[in-house]
Amino acid sequence: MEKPVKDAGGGSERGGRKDGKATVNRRDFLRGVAVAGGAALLGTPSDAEALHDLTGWPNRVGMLTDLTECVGCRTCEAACNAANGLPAPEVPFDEKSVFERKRRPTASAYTVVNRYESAKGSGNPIYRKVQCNHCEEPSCASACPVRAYTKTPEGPVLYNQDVCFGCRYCMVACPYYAPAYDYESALEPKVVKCTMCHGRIKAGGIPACAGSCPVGAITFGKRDKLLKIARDKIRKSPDRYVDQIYGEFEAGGTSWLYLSGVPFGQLDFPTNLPRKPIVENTKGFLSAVPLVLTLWPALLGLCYTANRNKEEKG
Amino acid sequence: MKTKAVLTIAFCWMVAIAAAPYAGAGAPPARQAGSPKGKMPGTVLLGSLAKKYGPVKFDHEKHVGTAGNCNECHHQHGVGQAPSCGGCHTIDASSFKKNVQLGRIRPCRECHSASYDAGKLDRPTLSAAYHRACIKCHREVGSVGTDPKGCTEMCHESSAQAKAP
Repeated sequence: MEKPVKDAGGGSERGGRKDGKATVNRRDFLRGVAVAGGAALLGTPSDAEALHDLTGWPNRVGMLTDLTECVGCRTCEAACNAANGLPAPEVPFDEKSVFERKRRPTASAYTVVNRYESAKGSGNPIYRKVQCNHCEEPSCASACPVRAYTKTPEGPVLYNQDVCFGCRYCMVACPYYAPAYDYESALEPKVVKCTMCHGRIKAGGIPACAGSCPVGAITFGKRDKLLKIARDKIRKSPDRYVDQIYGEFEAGGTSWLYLSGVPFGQLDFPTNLPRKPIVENTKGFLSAVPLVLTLWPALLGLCYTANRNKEEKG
Repeated sequence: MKTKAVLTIAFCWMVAIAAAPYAGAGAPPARQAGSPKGKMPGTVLLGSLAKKYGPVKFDHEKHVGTAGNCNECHHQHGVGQAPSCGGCHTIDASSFKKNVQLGRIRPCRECHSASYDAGKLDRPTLSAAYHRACIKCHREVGSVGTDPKGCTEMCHESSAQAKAP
């Protein structure tokens, strides 16, 4: 069984060689290589450009946090804890001493609220809720070598522990420092972050934090609608809000949107983010990798074979 | 003689019963219209949402004095733009009642639904509306132990607290 196959392979090889001798001289071959290589190089940026025009999944949901409404009661933290079955916190949720330092989401708290003193020195403090912002084009997903992250059509960005091997590239890639790592489990790597209560959304419910906020500072709904509401609020109360919806364009836009009464930089929001998705920086290169890895060895191999044949002949 | 007396008493009774509905017409009403404050709700128990926290014993009369304007809370004419209530409404007993009946002073829940409504995302839920109305002045909610007081000290004790003796 094996022999005929081998013979057939050899036959075709020879046939190819014959064809090559008959039709392709060195110059034509090199020209062909140049054209193919150029196409490979040119093809990638134009693909990236096309992807950049993506407007996202239709009807995707989002959240709008109005920081001017938040009173720092930490009910959202408690609701998140209960909804996700997280361990009880070290300090109870009605304890305000936690505001003395700036916190980040951890493996046991998908969301935290931080306090900022009013810029004027007087007036009410400003509270900022921190969690995964569920990017429109998440950089965590692009950085992940094993596709542990999924941008769902509903909007939330989900993480799959089953395939994660704990490289933590996602934590480096995230411009908002959202993913946290569970350092407790050494053998089962686990990145932890907000899921926007994806299960609840799929079941027709709303995320726990939005449902629990006593002052309605967190609104859940279709992202398009939320943007309209946010614009309306700014238009109606220009003195109350800065003229910016954080998350509308930042790093390609996020599902989580924010309104604030003070410039976002004062509340430690990263303000140096590009408007285009961070994925754009690596997309061109990364999409060329498989092409280069598969096409170039083949082309160079052909080059080599052609040259060797010539040398043998000569 | 006896019959006459019985008839007289019976007649008197009938007159009295027939006249009873009109008796109050000429007489002054039981509660004086006097100050508008007197005819507005006194203490109101806001308990439609009571679950994790108990109902709120809201002293309406006390807040009439401290809030600058009815419109601060009853904002259905638009927030912050309407003139004082007294400018348009004569706030005495009868007109106040009439305003309520005509729906000019409507309960919060008529517009602010108690549960999430995807069609009215720009409208706070009932809980949010209540909280915002109070927190506008009682801003430092949750700063337990300091003044202004926290959620449970100021407005509503948590159900867990209520159960504990």
